[in-house]
Amino acid sequence: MPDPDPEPLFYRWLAEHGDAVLKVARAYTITDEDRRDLVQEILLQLWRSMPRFEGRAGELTWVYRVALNTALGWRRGERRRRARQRPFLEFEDLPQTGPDGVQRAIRREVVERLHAAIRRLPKADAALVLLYLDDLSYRQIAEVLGISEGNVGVKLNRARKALGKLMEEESHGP
Amino acid sequence: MDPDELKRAWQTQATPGSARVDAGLLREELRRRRRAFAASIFWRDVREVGVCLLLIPIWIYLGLSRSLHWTWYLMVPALLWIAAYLQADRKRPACPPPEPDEPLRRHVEASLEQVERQIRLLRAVFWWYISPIILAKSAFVGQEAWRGRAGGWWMLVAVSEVMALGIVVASFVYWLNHYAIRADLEPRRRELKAMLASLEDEKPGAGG
Repeated sequence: MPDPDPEPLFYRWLAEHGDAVLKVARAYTITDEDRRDLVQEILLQLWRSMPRFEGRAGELTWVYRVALNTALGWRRGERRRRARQRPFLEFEDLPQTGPDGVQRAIRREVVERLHAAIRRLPKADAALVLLYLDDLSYRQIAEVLGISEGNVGVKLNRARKALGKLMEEESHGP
Repeated sequence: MDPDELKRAWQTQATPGSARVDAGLLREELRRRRRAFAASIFWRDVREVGVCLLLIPIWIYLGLSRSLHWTWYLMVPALLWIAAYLQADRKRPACPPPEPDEPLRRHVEASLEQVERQIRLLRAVFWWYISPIILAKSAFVGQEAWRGRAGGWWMLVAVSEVMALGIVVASFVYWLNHYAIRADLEPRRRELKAMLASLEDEKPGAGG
């Protein structure tokens, strides 16, 4: 039975899966302004979708579905039509944690190259790679994309090769 | 680079910060969008159907007050046809709009069906919108021309002017609809088709 007030669940999802939303938004946008707009849009769609959430799909699967569907349908032109919208989202800077400075810098550089390469992939392949990088199982990937589990491996193999090639190009410059 | 290393880097990436959401403002935005959506549907119907229905009494009034011939009233069934066609098209059972939580493939299929339906409607604009009006108008102008044939060349010039104006307006409406298809709908359809194709089943080893 779905919760009549989605607010507590929404905040929990935001705390637990907010990173996934941010990563998807970052993969499908270039500027900070677009990214913020897309995150807002994804969160709106997530809220709207919550009454239909019955727990049959996993929470992460659900969040990824909403995020990817919104990102793939999102168009920069709509930004102008949404100009009247009042922002309901704020980003708070977090202190950097994790590995030390050098390792962090290397990983940051890798992540930058990854994002650049993902943005150049066909949209469906980009979705597949995002899910793969976030370590979703083949079953979860199949549920998000609506393809058979057996096909995930085949597509992933192709997408990974394309990603590797683009990463090479990124590292050698244009 | 080792795929596991890529995954590690990806999963430990620093996100720009945590997202803080004002639920009150989010609810307000949803309400605003619902209102805007209802208003856009209402004004779309007013524009498409209301104008046709409004024109009918005006047309009849003009015909009666100026004692015009029966061909003048052919515009009435033409306007009724356009209004009915649009309503029938809107009410035709179709694939429901995609929900944001559906699997990606189903979402793409539903979006594609919606785009293709809109393309079909606009592409056929000549048959359901332009031609009924042109036919009704031509019948009236033709009859008037026949009745005033004693006017000779002057009548021919007047009729040609009226018909030319009608053809210019009809061509503009036709161009506008086809421009919307070319500039907006076709690129979207191509994009969705490509996305759907990349989600189709593949044989192992396909694509290298």
